[in-house]
Amino acid sequence: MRRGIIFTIDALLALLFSASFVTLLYQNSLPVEDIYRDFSLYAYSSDFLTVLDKGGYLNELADKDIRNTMKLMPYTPDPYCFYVRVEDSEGKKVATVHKPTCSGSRKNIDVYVRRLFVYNGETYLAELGSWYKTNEEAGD
Amino acid sequence: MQCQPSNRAQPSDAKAGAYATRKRGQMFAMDLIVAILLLLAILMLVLSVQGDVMGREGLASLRVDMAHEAQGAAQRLLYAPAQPTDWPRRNISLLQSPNIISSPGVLDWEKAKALSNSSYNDTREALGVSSQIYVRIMQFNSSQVYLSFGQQPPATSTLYRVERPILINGTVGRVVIEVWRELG
Repeated sequence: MRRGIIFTIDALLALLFSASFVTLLYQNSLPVEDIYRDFSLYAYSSDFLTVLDKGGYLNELADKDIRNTMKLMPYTPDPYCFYVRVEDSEGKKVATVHKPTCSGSRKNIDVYVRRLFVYNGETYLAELGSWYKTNEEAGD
Repeated sequence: MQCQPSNRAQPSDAKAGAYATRKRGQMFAMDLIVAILLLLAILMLVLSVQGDVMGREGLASLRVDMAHEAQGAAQRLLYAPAQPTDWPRRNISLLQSPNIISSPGVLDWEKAKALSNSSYNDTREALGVSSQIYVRIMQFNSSQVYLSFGQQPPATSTLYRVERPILINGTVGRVVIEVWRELG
């Protein structure tokens, strides 16, 4: 009878701890992330490059003038990081602009958007790379 | 003749037997009480976690619904061709998709103003939103609002926000779409 008592309490305690552990694991594994996370970054990046193109900013970058594009970068949504790079038809870099609070490391890039444009009879390639700000970048 | 052991207690053992029975009964009762307490604890834990999980799943599901609606509204406003094509001259209640662009990435003020002057329910229906919606056309580098329509979300609401850059009269601006619901 005594063995029976000990076994019962032991088993119930084990069940209690197991149930607590499993429920904690289950709670932490619940999906709470934004299902449009990647799409939002892509859509914003694509529109941003369109606006830079139609607003004449890419032409300025082709002229190696980065000032106006640089002014826009800090006002993009906080979790996003960007760089814009313009190359000439021979693949030589003409201008690059990074969002100031981001590291500009190419390792973390989630989305690339590219666009060809013509300026003063020359063809250029604009590439916009974007990624979500990392914890290190958020702490800058 | 072989003698069989008797299960019946002998009169001389009656006192000891009664004591042993009481002791066993007492121990069993303690065991039962402890077991019931532990089972109740487990039951309360399970019910509490179940309630929490269902609440979180409900909120997550609500956020997914709002995300669908907000992204759909952004699609209709900024990318999809207007249906019918003579919008905004057509009554908004007949609209399937009231975009506010003249070309991709460029705001059409006439369309934006027509949409802001339409009734709230017609706008929601045209944008395919069953939740509440608030749309702002803003300066890019400040919080200055050029034009807004819909209902502003209260602080207690849960909302999903979509932001897109757009050209407004040649300068960079942004469109902020907030789909929201009041909780509780």
